[in-house]
Amino acid sequence: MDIGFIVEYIPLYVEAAKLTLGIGLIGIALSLIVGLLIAFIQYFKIPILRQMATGYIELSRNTPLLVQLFFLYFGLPKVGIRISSEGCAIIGLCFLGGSYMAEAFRSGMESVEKGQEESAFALGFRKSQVVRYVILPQALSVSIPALCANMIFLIKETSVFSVVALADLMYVAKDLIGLYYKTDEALLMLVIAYLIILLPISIVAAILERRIRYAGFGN
Amino acid sequence: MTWNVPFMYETFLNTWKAVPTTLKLTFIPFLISVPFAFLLAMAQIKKVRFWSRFAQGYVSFVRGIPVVVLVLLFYNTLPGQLAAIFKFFGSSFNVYRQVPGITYAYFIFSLTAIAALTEIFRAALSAVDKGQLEAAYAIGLNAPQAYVRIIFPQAIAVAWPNLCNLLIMLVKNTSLAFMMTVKDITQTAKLGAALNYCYAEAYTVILIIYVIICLILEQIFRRTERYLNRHLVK
Amino acid sequence: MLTIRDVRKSFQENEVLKGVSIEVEKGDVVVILGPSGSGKTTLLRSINFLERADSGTLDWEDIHLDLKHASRKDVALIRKKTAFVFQNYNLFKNKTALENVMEGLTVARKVPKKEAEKIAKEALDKVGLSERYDYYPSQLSGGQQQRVGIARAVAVNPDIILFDEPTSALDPELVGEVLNVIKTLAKEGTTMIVVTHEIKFAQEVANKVVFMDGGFVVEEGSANEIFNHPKEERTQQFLRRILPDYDYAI
Repeated sequence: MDIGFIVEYIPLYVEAAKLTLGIGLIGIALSLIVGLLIAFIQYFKIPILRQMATGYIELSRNTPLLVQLFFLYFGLPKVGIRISSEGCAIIGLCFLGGSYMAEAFRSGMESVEKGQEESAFALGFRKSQVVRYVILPQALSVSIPALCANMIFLIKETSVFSVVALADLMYVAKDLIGLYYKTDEALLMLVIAYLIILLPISIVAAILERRIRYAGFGN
Repeated sequence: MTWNVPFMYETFLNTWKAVPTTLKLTFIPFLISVPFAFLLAMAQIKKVRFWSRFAQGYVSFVRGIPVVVLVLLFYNTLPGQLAAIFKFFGSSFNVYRQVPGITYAYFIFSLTAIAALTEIFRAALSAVDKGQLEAAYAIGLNAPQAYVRIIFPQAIAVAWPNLCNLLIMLVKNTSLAFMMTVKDITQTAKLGAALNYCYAEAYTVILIIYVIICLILEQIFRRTERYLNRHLVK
Repeated sequence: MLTIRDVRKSFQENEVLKGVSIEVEKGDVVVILGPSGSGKTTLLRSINFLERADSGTLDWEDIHLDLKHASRKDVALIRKKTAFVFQNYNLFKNKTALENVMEGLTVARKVPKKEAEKIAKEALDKVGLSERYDYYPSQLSGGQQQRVGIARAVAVNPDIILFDEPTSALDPELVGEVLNVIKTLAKEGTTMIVVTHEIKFAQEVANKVVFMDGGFVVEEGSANEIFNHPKEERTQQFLRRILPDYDYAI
């Protein structure tokens, strides 16, 4: 194992990791917003938008991110819409993530008992206040494990960005293998890079999940 | 900027021929992983020395690594290792020419399936009331009988929705098979698109086919879920 | 018929059974009484090896077993001669009442299906559930479920039926129907060991009473002796607490 090689190219990996995380976080943030919106649409059963939301969810959950990116990056230009690599990546991640987040939010909101809502109305809350002060806080604590799992999932999905010519971790690794044939070294660094990014988040998510489960059951 | 509809139709038919490959890439790893995942799940539940830790470690590791990375990792290193093994045993088996890419795909997708399935089985088996097993033993059933007749049916009912999600995940993962020169849906449509420069149409077609496959899977699971849960509160 | 000698069992640091012995003759209805934590349920579960005792022996007619080192075959043998009724019924949730009762016959005792079905239906009729053969446990009330549990035990024609607090998990209105079934079985001469809190019921059916506390057998004897002439202070305390109007004569 060529340690010298590894040390020499660590900066490259760090740059790539920053890019991956950067785009990933933007995508996650956007998908949270999209997810919340969609969850509202479904929870409050807004006509027309609701059917569209269902269609969107089915489409984005049942297709691979890879193909979605192909469509955005290679397909759209053919009809005149050209989007940068970063743009495609963010849109793709947000498109995919939005539906997963929507599901997480929705199950959280539905788990709040009807009685909570009713007593709030009885006290004179307006609908928007009920949502903001009663439903959302309770819904969130149920949703958090699912939201965390989704975030981890989305960060893992960022690994396909190399197909849209984004210099992310995979791209760097493939490049090094192709240029220098240092397969073992490049792959080792790749695996370690992802472990460093993902393991801490996984552990935190697992702890959160366990805490919330105890709180939920009580006995 | 016209939309080449005849091409779409043609691509649709061509790509549809690759669906069996995609289904193979989904279900064969799934079936392979079932026994392994079951053993690892039981090891965790029974807290078997070493294997319980191994199972936890394996699941955490694989779930922490994106599938693409696993593909890159194994597809680049495995052929070399296999060739070395054959050489060690003095065989003239040419790994590079005789082992098709799909074999590696099966291997790699099985690894991911085992990790996810272990978690699903573990949760489902734990969800079954311990008293069921005790009653089975008290009435004279031995362990295999108790598990097959009482525990598994209840565990599968619990796991069913998660199994559906798992299969959908596996279907989506198959799109990565193109990296291993396997002619799945994505690869086939891509080739067609490259020949005709009709990328938008081709990718739209692929998206539609994936949605169809997954919707059919969902429907199958939803119908059977009613049957599986018939013993629960009406 | 059955003699258990010197059973000891600890769960981690806690010694739950400290050397308990008990003897059962054919036709006996043995009631085990005692406060929570006295070890009575653990004792019962040790008999059919749902718990593995740390030490002790089991003698059944010509079978002699060490409770700790009994082989799987021995355990299976004892389980074929006994039946267990659980506090929370433990009916097989994915099987109907009829299937629940048949399971022990068809699978464990290789009884042919037609015959097993006949026996199962008779058992369910006996506990008053002829209308519920094809109901799933989730569709039955607690009392009905427990009666299915008893039918399941009766169907395999065991030498001894072990009851672990059969009515403790039931709503008060449902307790009576289950106790009636058990009383009927007792009158018919079924050998039983019953762990229970229901003193009045015990007074009606038991012919032997064992009072346990803190992992020991404090006092044992015939029902008349224990209820009317308890010798030990501890027994008297317990009976006084359980039956507020209790009055005894020495």
